Amino acid sequence: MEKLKEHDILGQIYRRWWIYLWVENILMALALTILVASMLQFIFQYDSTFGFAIASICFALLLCLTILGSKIFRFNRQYVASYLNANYPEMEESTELLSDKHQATSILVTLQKDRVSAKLKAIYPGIKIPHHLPQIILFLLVITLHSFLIGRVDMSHLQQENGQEIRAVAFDAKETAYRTPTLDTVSVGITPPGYTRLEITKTENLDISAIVGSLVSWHFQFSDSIVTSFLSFGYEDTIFLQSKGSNTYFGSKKVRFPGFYTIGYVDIHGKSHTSKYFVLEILEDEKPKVEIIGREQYTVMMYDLDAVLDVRVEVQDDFGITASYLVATVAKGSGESVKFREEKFVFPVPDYHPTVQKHVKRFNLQQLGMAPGDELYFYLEAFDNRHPERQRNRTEMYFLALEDTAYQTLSVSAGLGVDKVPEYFRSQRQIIIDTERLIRERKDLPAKKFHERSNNLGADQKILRLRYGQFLGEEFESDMAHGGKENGKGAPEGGDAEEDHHPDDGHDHSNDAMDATVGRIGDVGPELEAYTHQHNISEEATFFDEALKAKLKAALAQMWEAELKLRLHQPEDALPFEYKALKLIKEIQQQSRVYVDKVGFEPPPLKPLETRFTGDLDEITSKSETKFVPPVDPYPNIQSAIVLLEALKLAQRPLRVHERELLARAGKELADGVAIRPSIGLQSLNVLKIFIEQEGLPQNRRQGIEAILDGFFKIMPTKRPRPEKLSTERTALSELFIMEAGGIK
Amino acid sequence: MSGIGLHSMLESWQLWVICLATAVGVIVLGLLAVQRRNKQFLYLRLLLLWLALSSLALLALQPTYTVRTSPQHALMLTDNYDHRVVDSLLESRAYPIFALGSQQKDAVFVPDISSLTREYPEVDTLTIIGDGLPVADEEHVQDMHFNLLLNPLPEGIIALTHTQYLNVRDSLAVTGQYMHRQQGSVSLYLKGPTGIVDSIQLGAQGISRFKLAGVVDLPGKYIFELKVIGAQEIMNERLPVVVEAQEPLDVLLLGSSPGFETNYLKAWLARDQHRVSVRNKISKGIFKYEYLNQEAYTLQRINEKVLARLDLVIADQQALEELTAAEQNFLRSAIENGLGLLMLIDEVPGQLPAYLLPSNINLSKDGQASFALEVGKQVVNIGKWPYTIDDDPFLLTILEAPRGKVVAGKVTGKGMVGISVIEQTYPLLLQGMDAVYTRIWLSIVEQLVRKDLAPRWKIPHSELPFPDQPLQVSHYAVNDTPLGILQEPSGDSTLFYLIQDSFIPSYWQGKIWPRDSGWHQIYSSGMRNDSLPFFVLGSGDRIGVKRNQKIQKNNLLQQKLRVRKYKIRQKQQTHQKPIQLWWIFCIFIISVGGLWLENKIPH
Repeated sequence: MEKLKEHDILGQIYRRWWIYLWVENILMALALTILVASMLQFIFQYDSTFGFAIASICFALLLCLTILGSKIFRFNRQYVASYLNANYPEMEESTELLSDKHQATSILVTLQKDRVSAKLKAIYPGIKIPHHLPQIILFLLVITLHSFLIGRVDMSHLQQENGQEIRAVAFDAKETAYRTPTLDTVSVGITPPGYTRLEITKTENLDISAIVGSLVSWHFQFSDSIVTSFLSFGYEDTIFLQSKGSNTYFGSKKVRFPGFYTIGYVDIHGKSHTSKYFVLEILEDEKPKVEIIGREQYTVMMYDLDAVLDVRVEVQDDFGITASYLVATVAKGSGESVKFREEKFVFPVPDYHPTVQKHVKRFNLQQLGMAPGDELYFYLEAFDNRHPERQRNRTEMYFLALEDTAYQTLSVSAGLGVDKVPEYFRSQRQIIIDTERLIRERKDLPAKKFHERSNNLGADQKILRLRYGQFLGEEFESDMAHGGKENGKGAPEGGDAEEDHHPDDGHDHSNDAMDATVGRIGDVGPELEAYTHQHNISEEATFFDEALKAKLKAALAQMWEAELKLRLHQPEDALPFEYKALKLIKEIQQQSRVYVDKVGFEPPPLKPLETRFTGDLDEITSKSETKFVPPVDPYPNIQSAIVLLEALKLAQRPLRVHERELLARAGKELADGVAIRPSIGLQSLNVLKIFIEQEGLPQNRRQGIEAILDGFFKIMPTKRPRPEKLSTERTALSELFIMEAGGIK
Repeated sequence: MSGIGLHSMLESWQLWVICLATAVGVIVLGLLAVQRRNKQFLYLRLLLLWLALSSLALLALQPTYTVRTSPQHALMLTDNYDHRVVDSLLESRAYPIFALGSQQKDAVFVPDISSLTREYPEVDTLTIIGDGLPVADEEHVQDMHFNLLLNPLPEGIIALTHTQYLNVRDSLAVTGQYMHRQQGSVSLYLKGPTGIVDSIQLGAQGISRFKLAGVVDLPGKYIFELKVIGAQEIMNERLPVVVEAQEPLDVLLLGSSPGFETNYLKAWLARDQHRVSVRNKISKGIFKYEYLNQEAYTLQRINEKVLARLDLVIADQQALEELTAAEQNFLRSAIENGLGLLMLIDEVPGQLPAYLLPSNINLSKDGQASFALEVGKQVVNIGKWPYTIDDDPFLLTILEAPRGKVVAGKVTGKGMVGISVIEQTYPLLLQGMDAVYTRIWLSIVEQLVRKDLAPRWKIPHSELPFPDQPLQVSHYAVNDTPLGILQEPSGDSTLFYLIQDSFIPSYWQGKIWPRDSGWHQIYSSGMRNDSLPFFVLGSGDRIGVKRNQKIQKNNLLQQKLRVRKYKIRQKQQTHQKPIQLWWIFCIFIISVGGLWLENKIPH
């Protein structure tokens, strides 16, 4: 039993020492693991899971190393015995005898064994097993503290330089986060011009379509406070909205031109926000549509005492008609003595200004004073109710001619192909020629025919006489056609002349101002007598002087005589008078000519003999000119932007600075085109704006680029054909072949 | 297992060294072990020692063992194979299945045929299922029996060509073939930067040919798209197109006297930024020179230096006749070198200038003072001299009247000489008929103007550039040994070399390997102005075309190999298989561990 006990003591010492050794190794491995792991974590900053794994591996490795480096494998009971022998002299170097393996072989050994075992029991409580646990534990604590401190070091600046994720440390903010103000509610009111009688419309659609001149008002409600809000129209006009409190803003504008606009506002931090582009479409107030229904533009009618003309008219306008009327002009006479008389027939228009009106106007030609040969011109004119300035529209001129059955036209002469000889003024010489012809042909003509021709010649002579007689104030030809009051003595009575002139005959003298002072034609006041000509009173006719007038009177007298003889069918007797009349008329023509000095450029006198045909070119030299024709290349920035966008279709990168600038310039050019035609390109302009702002549209990039390209190509005009070199497959080899073959002859 | 061999590629003397070292080590360490005082586990120690050193040596020697094999018939799965075909074959017997170039379930992956023959030499008959073998593998099946169970042609575009390089106003032509199997019709849309430019609807089942066209007005690089839409969008093919900007022309107008025709023609040319020079004779030896869109230069004498910069000379007959003999020679020489000349005849043309006679263009009197020209729906009468140009088989008609040619040209050397019997064209501008005027002069100028050579760099039309695929390029060099530079979309440049053709010294060929998809450029080192842009397609492009080409090539291969005359040699019956080194390493670890442990056991 006692042996067991001593052996047990030794065993206990051995086991305790064994445990200390293992604990030392484990703690040392742990300390080193903490040190290594913390250093690695400090350097690489990986997450906790990965760090734990690293630490586990380190621990295993370090444990193996410490175990290998320690004496744990050499540790045995002999070692314990040696230690006791060395450190406890009481054991008298005999501790091994207490080992269970040592069998007592002699009495001396047995005695020594008993002696040593008693001493072992005595010193057992005081045996100190050598170990370094406190130091190792202290080391462990120091390492742990060190690692803890290392972990507290802020490495964020290193992380930033390395480009790794920044770890934000949250702290309580004193202010609430600022939210960008947004447009919560939008209301657009369109007030059309009053005359349109359209109702005011309210809408939330910011794409506006309004009548020209409408007043458009915008009401905006923002989610937060802003500094200012404005509307930008194209690149030309900006209106600032007025604040109505509670983040509400109001603005209005009278719109006249189409285009586009954006909504902008500045928040309290000074940041500017701009919306996309919205269309501003202007609907024009159309002119009234006027139409004369069922009538050809040129109509010929037979004269009839009961002749009437029904003219159906229709007038339409989009908003209202204020006036419509027919303007009719009667033209009487022909040739140079045509008189015009204008009348206006107003159609009644109700006060409510209807949008459609239909009327029928019956013209009684008799009441209009029309006779065969006269013409009636008429057109329809209408006004709408546009304010402030009405719009006018009229039809083409319509013609109605009354056929004159008494008018003799030359029949088509066989072989000549001439259908009508225009009426012309037969000269005295022509009358003489015809008279002489008549005399020559007298023998071959039947009497009736001879008389007829002679009478006609007389009539011609009369017409000529009357024309010349105008200069002396004699009656006009129209009086002849209507059986005018011809007294055969020359000038008609003054009253007849007066009847020919009335204010509405379209004559140049029918002037309001003139009428106010002059009254009737020829009835000039004393102030204007010196400046007017009195062609209806022979004595006051002022075309010629007295001498010429006397001569003209003499010529007219001769014409009278000639006419008389011709009407009496005595052309032989009429001939001398005709010659005399001709001679007098020629003299009058010569004497009535006025010669004036030539004014203007006086060229230097020519010297043809000196310079002509000499061939002297000394002063003529070769000349050289250089000229640069400016290129007519619309939208150069758009062209460059197209090439850029095609390249960006494939590139997945944000825009570079110069690319952004190019797209901005191209956008300006696109905007200029869109302002004229908002329906083309506005969508592309919006997308381009977003594209630039978002540095190349990371989402839907391809669709965005295609939308922008669509607008660019629509705005650009078609390129005109330009001569260029055609593509060819010629190579140096083929050219060599051509040269060697000698070309094609 | 009937034999052990060595797989290692060691020299014999190395082999002896290893064996000797192993033997020495065993002996020395064995003696030490024997001499150790503690003889416990001695034999075990010696065994472990021998095992450790031997396994170490075997790791270096890499032993193999002989395996006897029998010929195998295997299935090879290629791209887009139909599993139903495989299943039907497997119903009859169990085949070993290999997958070429891709991982497939229940199939052994082989990267190519050569690795199959190397790793599995017992396979001597192969049934290929799917689209077929890649081109590179075709030569490796020469010594095998094989059957092809190829896929039918796929639904979609199976052939596609388009003009890749255009001038402004040229029309992009897209032609191809479409395999239509589904019910209903499909629509093909050609979409460009301006939107859809052309379309066609295909309804017939089977292969249909199609042709589409489009125009781009602006120079640049574009990607057109060919969209195929049936019940839903089926596919989308990209068509890269380069529209090249043209340099302005250099035109010289020679007049025997100033005239309206010259004035209006020069203005018409100058407004399009062409460089126009005018020399009008005022009197004997006295000229008026005009230079539009360029700086003035010496034009008193028409010499080779002046003519070398020109693309076209337009002159009236008298002006040409009045040139000096030297000038005439220079002009003739320049025409031989590519210059274009248009002669405007006089009222009485008489004899053509003698130095132009070799062009042999003759006139005949027809008495017609005008001719009718159709431009669109408009027919315009244009005045001409009462002559027409005689027919000639080598004559190129530029403008034709009902009774004969009014403007024609003939190739002279590298250039062209043209003649015009039109009296005046400028009245068309005065009458507001700009389109007619443009039509006339556009035809004349474009036909006669100096022709540029084709680009030096060329990529064969049949080549489709893909990433990591070889692309053949050719180059016409003049003097030096050309060095090519490939510029990639990222901006990186790579140098590549060319091989000179044996028969044509100026013709060089090379191969490049683009790495990425996108727009690339090749040009000569030191000469950026001869660059050729080209687009490398992506892996998703031309899938149908590539499949079709592969299937067609495999069919051709099968036909070709059906008529092969030689006999395929018998496959070997045995082969050496290496022993896995892991086993040897484990033996080494165990033996070393055992030695270490034995030392630690308390004795």
